[in-house]
Amino acid sequence: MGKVIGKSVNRKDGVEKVTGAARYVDDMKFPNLLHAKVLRSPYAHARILEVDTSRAEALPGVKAVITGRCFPNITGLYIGDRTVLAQEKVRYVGDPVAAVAAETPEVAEQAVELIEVEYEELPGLFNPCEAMQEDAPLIHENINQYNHADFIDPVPDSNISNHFKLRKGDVEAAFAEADYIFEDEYQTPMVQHVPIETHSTIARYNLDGKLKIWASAQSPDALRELLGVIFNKPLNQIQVETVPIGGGFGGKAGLTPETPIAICLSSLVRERPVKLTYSRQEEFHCATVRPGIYANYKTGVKEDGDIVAQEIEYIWDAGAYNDYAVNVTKTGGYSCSGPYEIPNVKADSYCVYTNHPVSGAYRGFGMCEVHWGIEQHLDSIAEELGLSPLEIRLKNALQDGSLTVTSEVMQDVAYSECLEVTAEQIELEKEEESTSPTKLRGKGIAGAYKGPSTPPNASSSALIQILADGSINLIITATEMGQGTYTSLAQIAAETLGVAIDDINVSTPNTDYTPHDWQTVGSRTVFSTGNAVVRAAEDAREQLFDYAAEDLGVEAADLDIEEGIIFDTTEPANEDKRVPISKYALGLQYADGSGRGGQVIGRGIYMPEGITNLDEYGQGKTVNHWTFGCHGAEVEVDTETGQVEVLKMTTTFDLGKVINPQLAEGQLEGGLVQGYGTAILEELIIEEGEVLNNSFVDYKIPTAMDIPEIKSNMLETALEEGPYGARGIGEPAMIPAAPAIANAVYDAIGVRIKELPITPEKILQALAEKESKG
Amino acid sequence: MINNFEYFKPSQVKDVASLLKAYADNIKVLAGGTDLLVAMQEGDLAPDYIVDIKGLTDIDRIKYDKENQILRLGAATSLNDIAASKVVQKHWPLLAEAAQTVGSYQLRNRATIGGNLCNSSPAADTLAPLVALEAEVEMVGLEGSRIMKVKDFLVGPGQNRLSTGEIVTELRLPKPSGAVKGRYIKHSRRKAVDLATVGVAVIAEEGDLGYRFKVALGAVAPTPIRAYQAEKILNESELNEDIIDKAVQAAGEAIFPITDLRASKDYRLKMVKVQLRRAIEKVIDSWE
Amino acid sequence: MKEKIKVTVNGELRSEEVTPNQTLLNFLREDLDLTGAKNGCNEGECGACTVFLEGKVVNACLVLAIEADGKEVETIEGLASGTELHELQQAFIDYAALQCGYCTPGMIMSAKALLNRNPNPTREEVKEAIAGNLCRCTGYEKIIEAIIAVAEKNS
Ligand SMILES: Cc1cc2nc3c(=O)[nH]c(=O)nc-3n(C[C@H](O)[C@H](O)[C@H](O)COP(=O)(O)OP(=O)(O)OC[C@H]3O[C@@H](n4cnc5c(N)ncnc54)[C@H](O)[C@@H]3O)c2cc1C
Ligand code: FES
Ligand code: FES
Repeated sequence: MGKVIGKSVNRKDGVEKVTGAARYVDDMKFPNLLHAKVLRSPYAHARILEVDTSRAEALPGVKAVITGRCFPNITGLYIGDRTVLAQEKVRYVGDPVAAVAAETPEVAEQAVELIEVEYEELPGLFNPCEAMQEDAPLIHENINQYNHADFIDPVPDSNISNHFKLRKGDVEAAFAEADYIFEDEYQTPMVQHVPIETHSTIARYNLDGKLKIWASAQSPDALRELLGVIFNKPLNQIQVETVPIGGGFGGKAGLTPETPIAICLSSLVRERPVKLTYSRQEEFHCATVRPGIYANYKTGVKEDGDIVAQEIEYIWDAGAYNDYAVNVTKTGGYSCSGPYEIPNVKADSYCVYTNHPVSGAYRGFGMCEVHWGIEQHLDSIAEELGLSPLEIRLKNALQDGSLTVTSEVMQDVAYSECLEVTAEQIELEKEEESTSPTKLRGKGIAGAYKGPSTPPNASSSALIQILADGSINLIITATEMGQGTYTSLAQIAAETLGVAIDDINVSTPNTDYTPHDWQTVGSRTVFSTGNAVVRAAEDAREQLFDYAAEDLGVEAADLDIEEGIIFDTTEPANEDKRVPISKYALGLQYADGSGRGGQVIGRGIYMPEGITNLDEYGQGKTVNHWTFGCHGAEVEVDTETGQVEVLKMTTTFDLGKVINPQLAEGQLEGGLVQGYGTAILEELIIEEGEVLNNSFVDYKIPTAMDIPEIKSNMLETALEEGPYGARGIGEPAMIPAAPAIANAVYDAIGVRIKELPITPEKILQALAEKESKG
Repeated sequence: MINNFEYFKPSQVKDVASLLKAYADNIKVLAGGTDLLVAMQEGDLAPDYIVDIKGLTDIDRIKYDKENQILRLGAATSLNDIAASKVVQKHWPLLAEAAQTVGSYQLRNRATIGGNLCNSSPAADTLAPLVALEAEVEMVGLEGSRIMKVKDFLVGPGQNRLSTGEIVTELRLPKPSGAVKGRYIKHSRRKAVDLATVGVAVIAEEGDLGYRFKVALGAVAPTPIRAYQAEKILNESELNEDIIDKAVQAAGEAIFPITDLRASKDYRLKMVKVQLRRAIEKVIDSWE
Repeated sequence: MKEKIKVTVNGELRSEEVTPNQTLLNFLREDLDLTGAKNGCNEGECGACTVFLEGKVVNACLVLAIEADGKEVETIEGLASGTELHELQQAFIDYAALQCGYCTPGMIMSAKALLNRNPNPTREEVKEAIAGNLCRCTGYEKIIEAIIAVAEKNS
């Protein structure tokens, strides 16, 4: 082992991407392509009285116009609360109301402007704490009728789309015995994923009824299944092809509305592909955002820092449609206390409809939001008790044998090591001199954990096809959005098969040919699809060995493959018993021209075992594996301007097994910088439902000038069930960035910023308050 | 989506002026296009005619006029050319420094000084420095040319003294008589490619009576403004902490900041004071 | 209303018709099918559309196609010679300086412009030079390393 795994092999998609040859969806051309534009609601909450499309339809060049009435089927990933276009009501500013397909984008845009809609404005709900009240008007009047996954619990006749409840131990009794009780509140706003490629799709409805879709979609299979519901179609009549994705981060997972809109339009002009690409403005407020959170903590601790009880309330601002967010908020609920062992926990996580943009999955899947509070709350408790941030964490950290908040028994946990490595590297205890009398230095750490947050039975599959010359096709539906899927899975395939990495070609997902994969989300691909690839490779090896055993007269159990050569392990030097895999690629050939078998096609499937839905108290094992880590931050705060300069960050994560060090480090750095962005710069500024900063002019993401110096450490505590021991790492490095920075800011100036982002104005205000209190 | 239009690129100023006169409100001057095309993309502007001035002779030339001791900057000189110009760096370092803070490198290859001026945003980064440097604008129309101080040229957000039919052809900067030290501090949310929340331009020119200060402030009033009272305090007393304090205080009283997405009024007020003090201190440090 | 322009794109002189309101980015992508330059914002903020115009990098979304009349344009597609990658392209692969790749063509153009004017940039100069190219995936670290590696190799 270790020939390809653990090596920084170059990306499979490197050449096409550095030469500009890679074709993303918006780069695709068809001679008869139509262009779509969407008419969106200017109101946050309103009844649609009338839609008049006649003037748009009359415009030359317009080929199709649709409104909500055309396609009434309801769907959604975990709760069916969405239609292709708004039906009777619009529920956020940007809710699609009508759409046009035309010969040119210009005509489509003109046509959209000609559609007249009469609305009756309704009062909007913009704060989830108010929207969840019993007497609040309903944003979804039909909530009681909505279909939903069995692990989602909408509250009837309310705006609560999911109430997740967790009860572990006896919180009341434990609070009574605690030496101290601390209470705290934290908030995060809605933020955007901001992939540089905006959402884009092309759909063609063929005359025979078959649908063909090219989409910048993370999850071709999930998309196909949801489309099947909307269009009442057998799944084999829907073909989704995923070309390179220009960044996803969760925002292109599940069902994103652009694809069904394009399909609806194409259904009226069959055989003509319809392209819909979001403008940057649309991307900011009409593509999925990360939900906001109001987090309340009450924590009981012993004198020595042992946390004995915690009561948590998470109220999520999940926006107008919650088909994905219900599971984000559930994950936030069953991970509610962070990577710590607390014997008594009571938590309620409420996913609440508001008249804000639609929220859903975003790198971290709820974990960024909950750790923002958890990791700061811990620091403030530590300070009160006279403990260091490291001490309180080590004291309560999950370890082998610990019980999580859902009472899952932990194993192979190296969270404490992550904390120690980070604390040592940033010299947490050492005070640094600042460069100026008006600037203060500080350091902080924050930890995190995350599981893939999938339904327990989310599965993956892979096929390995050996071609006549011994070269190999790895056929999967996991998508490549930059994270290096194709490369790391090819490494796993090469390693398991015993061939060179260059012998492996990775297919582009196409649901007509590539086998099922639940979704490419939740940092699950190396783990879940990786396991399927291992099995497919093992299956292919068995087939090869079956042929070779007969051909070479060697026991199959004695055969192995290295560099694409099958050999007898009992006589590795015997040239007569060394044959290239190509010899058996298409089956066994006999001397008389006959043969046996046929092409070697390895099949691998994987579904995690031993996990189920949680019980009614939120107890049980529902997570297939956890990834743990810790960030350290060193900051300098300008006490006159309030500006925070993040000088250095250290990230330490336990990856189980590092499949490709360079790619893994890229995930850590990229995640960390995205987390930095949310810490310092990013927030959707929403007023009465309207996003005021829906452009790069006022929604700032980090540039190269902003980034801190980054140091990454990767630990390898093998995960028993992971392929070669690997754990997921795509999301986790984003999670502890913001709280680590906030803790460092506190260390510098002695005030705590509890609401993201940490803006200069908040810092100055906090400093002023501190001063006035003396 | 940009509305369609007819495009002209004359090589004579008089042709530009005739077109402008003929189409009045329905025509726009195109220099680097970094403000204009964004406004057209967003549908805020939809002129039927565009006149590109980059075909005019010397419109993008940087020339030091020895005889008159002035620097002549063609209106369509790119901000990168200004930032990289040795002569600008030598005698008007403040301007080079400010030009460098605009947008990104590739943007500054297109963005021009004349465009920055004529767009007349209160937050435009070269304007506070130009005001502090007492730069003049040359405007040319069918009736001939006229010259005006940048400070007088700017009227309000997006408003200036150009009349129908006129363009700016040149900016003129008088050569400082003695050594000058200057500093432009751009306070913004992000370190690069961001608009100024507050911009502070300070220069000190060495003369017979020691250094004389000029101070201009951006993004805190409808136009960039000179802080005369602050200058007076700095120039009429022996410099010490207390005097700087007083000057900064006076600058704070001269401005009318607003609240917008970038910052609150109150924050802008505070930042003008903080950054002005820092700019003054840096200028003093640099001559010591 | 179409206007004729003559423009040299990646070394090849082309006579084309454009409408005045077409941006250079739109012209390259839609008319010439050179889709390496991307549209990430259409307002000069992201740099995904960065190309060379007369030897200088510009945001192609903020240039009119008609302005390129009589001029030279170089896009990412013109960088490699045959199948031989440009050294920056190779370095981006070797240093894993790309993930989703959407920013990559623009990023490489900005990097090339930097090395043209300053063959030996400091880390800070590299950061400044690519500040107009947003990347949401990599955190920039590996991009900076790749560019510095090319500079060091050549010095
Ligand atoms: C991403 C981005 C970032 C930016 N960052 C900054 C920044 O940090 N700081 C800053 O100050 N600005 C910034 N800007 C704004 C803009 O780039 C500058 O104002 C630039 O200097 C404008 O110059 P231009 O040549 O592109 O102007 P144009 O867009 O060509 O013209 C601007 C206006 O002035 C008129 N005009 C231009 N030249 C003349 C002339 N000679 N005579 C008469 N009228 C004329 C035009 O008709 C138009 O109305 C930014 C813009 C973008 C897109
Ligand atoms: S598309 Fe041109 S800068 Fe974003
Ligand atoms: S690699 Fe995805 S945006 Fe840069």
